[in-house]
Amino acid sequence: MVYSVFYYGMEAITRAILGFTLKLYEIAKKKEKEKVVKKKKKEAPAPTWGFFSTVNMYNAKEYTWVGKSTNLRVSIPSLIKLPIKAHETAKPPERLYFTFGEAASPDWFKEIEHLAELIEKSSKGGKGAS
Amino acid sequence: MLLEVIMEAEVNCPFCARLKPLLEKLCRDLDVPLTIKYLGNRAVAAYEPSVASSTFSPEWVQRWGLPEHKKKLEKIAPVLSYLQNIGAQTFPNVIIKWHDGIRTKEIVVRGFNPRRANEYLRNLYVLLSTLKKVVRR
Repeated sequence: MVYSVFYYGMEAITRAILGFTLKLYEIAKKKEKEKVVKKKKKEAPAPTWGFFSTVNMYNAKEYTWVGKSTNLRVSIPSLIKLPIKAHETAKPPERLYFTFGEAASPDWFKEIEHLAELIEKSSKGGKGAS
Repeated sequence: MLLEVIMEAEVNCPFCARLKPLLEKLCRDLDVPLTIKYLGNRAVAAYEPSVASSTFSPEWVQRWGLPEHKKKLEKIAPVLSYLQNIGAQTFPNVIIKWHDGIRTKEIVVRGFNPRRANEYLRNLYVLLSTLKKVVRR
């Protein structure tokens, strides 16, 4: 009787330990498999909207913007290097700046005339001066 | 409005307080509209760009400045940007704005010295009266 109780007790304990270790082993294996599956990335679907580099009818490169939810297609020509230097088209503001000393001096009107002449010259096509 | 005078001032500026009544009287005599803008640090419109302050910025010099100024810009640029950052401005600024039929033109006078107020006001009177004739014509 005593023998059988010890025997079954030991058997139950060993079974429990073995079962637990085997379960752990299985879980570790499963995790490894999941890792392998995760490493294989799915290929991203081809973009349906955004900027696309295209070639127009004159065989020049350009970008096309395709709308996301609208049927919009805007072609944007690619930037090219201009042979001439770009210049600003906006005219400078016609402002004359004076200090108090200049404004209080009797020659103030002469200075105004001189600056106005400079502005006229610059507006005709010279360098910016104001 | 064809001809107007704008005064940029600061609330705590003593020169602004001295100039204000003089300018008001001058403009009243000549029947020219005068607007006073308080642009100082403690004013409501402290961050409104001023005509006078824009000249201190390196961008302004780079775009509109004379070639001599542009040459010196490399050295002065940090100082100018510092002045812009702290919002340093000179007060008072008197801006005389008129339209000659083609475009608006402006004369900006920075600062004020009460000792030479008479000469300054005389010059202003002459200028405004002549401009008034030009504008009316």
